[in-house]
Amino acid sequence: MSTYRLARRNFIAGLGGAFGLKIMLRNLEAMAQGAVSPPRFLMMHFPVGTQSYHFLPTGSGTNFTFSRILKPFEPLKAETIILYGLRDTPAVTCGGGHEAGTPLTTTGANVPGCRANNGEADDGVAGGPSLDQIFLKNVAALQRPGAGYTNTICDARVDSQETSTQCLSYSYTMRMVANTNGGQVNEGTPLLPTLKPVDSYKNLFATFVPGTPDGGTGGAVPDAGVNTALVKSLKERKSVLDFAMRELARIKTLAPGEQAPKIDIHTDAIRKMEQAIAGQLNAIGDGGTGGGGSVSCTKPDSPDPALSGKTGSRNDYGNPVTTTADDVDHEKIGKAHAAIIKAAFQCDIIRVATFQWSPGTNHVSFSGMHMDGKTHMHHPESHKVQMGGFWNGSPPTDATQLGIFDFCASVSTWYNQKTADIITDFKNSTDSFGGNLLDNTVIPYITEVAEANHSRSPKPALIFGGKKLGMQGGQFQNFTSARPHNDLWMTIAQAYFGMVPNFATIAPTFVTNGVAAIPGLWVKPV
Amino acid sequence: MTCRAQFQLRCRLLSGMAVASMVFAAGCEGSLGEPIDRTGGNPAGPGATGTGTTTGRPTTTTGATSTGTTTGAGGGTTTTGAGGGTTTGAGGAGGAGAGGTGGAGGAGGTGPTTCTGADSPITKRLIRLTFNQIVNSIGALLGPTLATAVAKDNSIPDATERSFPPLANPREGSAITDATWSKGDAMATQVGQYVLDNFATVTACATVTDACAQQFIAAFAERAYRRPLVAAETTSLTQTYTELKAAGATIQEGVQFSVSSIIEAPQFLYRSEFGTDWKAAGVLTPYETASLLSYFIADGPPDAPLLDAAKQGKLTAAADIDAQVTRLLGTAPVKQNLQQAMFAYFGATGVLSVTMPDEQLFTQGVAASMYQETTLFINNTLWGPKVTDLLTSRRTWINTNLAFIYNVPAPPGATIDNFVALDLPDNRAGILTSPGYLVARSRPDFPSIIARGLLINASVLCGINPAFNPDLQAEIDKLKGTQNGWTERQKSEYRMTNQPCQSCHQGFDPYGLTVGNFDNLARFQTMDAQGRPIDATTTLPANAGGTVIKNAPDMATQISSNGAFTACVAKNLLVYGLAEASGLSTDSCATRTVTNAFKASTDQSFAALVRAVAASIPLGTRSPGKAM
Repeated sequence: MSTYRLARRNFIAGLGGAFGLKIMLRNLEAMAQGAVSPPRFLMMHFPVGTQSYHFLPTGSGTNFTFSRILKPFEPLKAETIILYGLRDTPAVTCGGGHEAGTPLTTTGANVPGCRANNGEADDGVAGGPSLDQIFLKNVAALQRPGAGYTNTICDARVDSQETSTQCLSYSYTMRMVANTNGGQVNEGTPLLPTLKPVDSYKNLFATFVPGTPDGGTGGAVPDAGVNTALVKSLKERKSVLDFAMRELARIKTLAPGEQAPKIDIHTDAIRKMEQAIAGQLNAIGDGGTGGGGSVSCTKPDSPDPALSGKTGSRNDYGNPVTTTADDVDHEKIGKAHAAIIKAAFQCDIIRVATFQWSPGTNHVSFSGMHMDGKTHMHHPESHKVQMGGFWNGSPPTDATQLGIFDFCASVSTWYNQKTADIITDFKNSTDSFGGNLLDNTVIPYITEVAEANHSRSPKPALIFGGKKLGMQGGQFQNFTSARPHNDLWMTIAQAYFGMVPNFATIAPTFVTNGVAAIPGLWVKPV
Repeated sequence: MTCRAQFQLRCRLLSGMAVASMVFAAGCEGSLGEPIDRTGGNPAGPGATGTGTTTGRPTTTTGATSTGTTTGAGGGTTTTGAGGGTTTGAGGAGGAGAGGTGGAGGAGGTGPTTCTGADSPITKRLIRLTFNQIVNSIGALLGPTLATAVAKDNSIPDATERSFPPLANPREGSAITDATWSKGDAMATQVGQYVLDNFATVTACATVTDACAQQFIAAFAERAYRRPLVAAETTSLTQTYTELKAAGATIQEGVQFSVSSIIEAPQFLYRSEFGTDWKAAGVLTPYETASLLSYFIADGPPDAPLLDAAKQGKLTAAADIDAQVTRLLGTAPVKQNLQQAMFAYFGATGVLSVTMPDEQLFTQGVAASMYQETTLFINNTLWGPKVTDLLTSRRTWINTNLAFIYNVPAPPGATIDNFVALDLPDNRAGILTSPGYLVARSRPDFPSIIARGLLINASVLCGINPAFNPDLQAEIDKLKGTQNGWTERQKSEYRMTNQPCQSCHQGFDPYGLTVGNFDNLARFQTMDAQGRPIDATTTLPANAGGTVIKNAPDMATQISSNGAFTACVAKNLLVYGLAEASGLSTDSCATRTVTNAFKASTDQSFAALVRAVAASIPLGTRSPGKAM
């Protein structure tokens, strides 16, 4: 990693988009003017639900003791809200437990059908946009030039070509796709996550050019030659994007109207980048103010290009045992993605992101966690259960079943430890405005099913951070009378809107029937 | 096979690293609650018997329930459907040649039953190229060295790892969203940089002038768009070049960024299927047809003869299309592409990631050998006299790693690297008993009737495998306790004759029974692990013909002769050609148009089936687009 001061003359090379320059200069300028850290949103997902015995803390409210599964979060207690007993209330017309559960959980919308994908017939589609996109579109403070968000995933093996289980984020742009039950179904367009950290890095930092790591005073006023070269580079880049948008607009006039969503979402991707460059050109045209101040922005080193989660359709349900352990690489990939997101938040390139450890149908294998000493795959192992009431009960007495029970608890704990490491890193970081990164970021940590038996209640969820946005950490609430999972989103929405927003206006597909913010979790900041 | 794939294979063949063991408790495996694979469409009938033929390329035959004879003259005007049927079903509306008008509908053909949907169910649309197709297109424009670099630098998977159909792959998606665009943007930037770095070679501009640069840009765009430019496109390119120069770009940089613009252009990144008027049903334009055909069978842009045929308007009549497809099928790249596509069809890649309990026997070297055997089997069998050879062929190719699977000495000349032909015994036939197929996608720990039945139902017969009902878990658990000591066949017979198992299991268990003689490594056996005889006799489900068969080769013969397998391959090839998952089944009228045409042909080869798909109404015609 290199921490460096940003000076305008050092940005020239890059050039292709170079919107990072504008962002940093603006931040430094804002800093000088006493601006406070902006809000941020990071949706995190863990797979395969949980098991009550090893999940539930003892106690309640602010007086509780962390369970085995949640123990990794104990040092983060003040920044952590633990919820249990949520239930999915949107309707599922079609879709498997994990397949429908994932878009249902992240959109809060009904799942109106299943996407025909020439594979299994249970690939549930999103009935509307996901909450990350809802917040991004409707909260100006979350918007940044460029794409404005990033989506990441650490492993993408699925059962059979499903999109649903490997995508948390869905666009407002709806499109018609073939439905496995015949006809077509209208879905929120999946905004597929990036699997390779190096690709995520390129997306966010390829055009972000560092200044000199000299610790100097910065704030150099660019000389005319540097400025001219920068302007030229930006204009060249803008011409390319303008051309693509112009051609898309022309094709839209020639295409059937039903193709418009496909053209629109493509155009939007370009437009966001084009507008960032146009804004940067305007800033330079204004003369800019140069950089200044003492705040630094840390750009991560480019990840190892070979670091990547696995992909493809897998059938491991007959044999969850393998000799190939994924957990070491899985952690590396997760932390590489998280480091990029953190840096992009710090440098204020984006303020919205999603992070998914794996699809709910998790084929990642873990070593040293099963009583039999062998390496097992998470989700396939969870389906070796051969008794009812398993996930809501006490540890089974049968040795084989106990092995499954304990393994799944160990995997959940593993995920939580790695997630805690990430959250801790956020907690120990400041952004380019000088604010604490975690305090200004709300991080819901959600899962697509309540338990491995695909039940939709009682679901667990956690919320990290957001202290400056009003989130009240240090609590555990167990809803014995299950609350809608959308209550979670309604609660978090307050942190961005300053109140419960009118979802009927901002996201009509979000199911609000019987939904309300959970009392006590948010207090309006003064 | 690419160099990368060859290298990987070599490593794998040599690998002796063992894999882990495991134990799986037999029983009603549905209790696992997770599917094995449910590929495919609806259950097929035993194959079409309609005899209608279609010449020319009628605009569409809507609402057909069977195929009559529809005579359309390419480029003609009114065409008339002639009744040729003897049973139910209204004939499709007669189509028009390009620029023609609809004729009278043909009378009902001899369909086996009714079919569903329209002959041409797909509406006018845009189809994005896959990343592999983009790379191949860049290679066609600027050479394989750049294409290889672009693939490597942008993490584009090898073509052998594609999905079937390609855009069904969730990592691809059918829309260009932010992340997809970002990757394409990086590729475009790389291509532009390459042109800048190799300006003289690429542009052949002896003297660097604006005129030469713009001439190159226009010619490059025409090749990239796979058709002549319209005036607005030329104007737009000129505008961009002018803007670049005004921004201070040199001529070389003007070309660089113009090339990046072209690689970013929707005309490059998509194929259009608008025809001359998206509001009307009809065929695609000749250039659209050229791109459709080429990306279908070559996974790349149309070559010069195909574009020339389009230019001359010779891609409208079925005969003209057939001539081009026949020509292309004779080229090595097209054969390789379709071989890889069929490899993906059978999901054989999966064998490389399978683990087995017997780690001493199933090494990575054995897995890699099975992968290569399947590759060779498909490559060598696909171009034989009959598409059904894929099921009935009695020849395979093995190396020394695989001799024990077949219980034979290593054939003369076989080494770890050298695969030699082996004639199969009577108890084996085609892909159904191929180790790569059986091991790759069925449960590896024991010869599961359910898993294999689901596999065959989906991939060979295009049946839809039902989802497991988790509410049955407790009942299944109870059953398991009563079936200790039962043979797998006894358990299967119980499932097929008792509810709540029966309604689902009778639809796929029989297929699993037919391959019951093959253990988890696909070795033939007559006794199970407890020394009890294995009986593979069963009655096939209705969608496979409903006949009694005695083993896997017998089933291969049955579903080859009754058309069930061909209908499934036809459906899947059609879906593949249409690029996006379309929800078609073997019962779709669109599929029937292909199977009927194929049955009417004296040539029953895979190549002929590809040609039948290529010249079919559902591939080449579109329903009207819809206004929003």
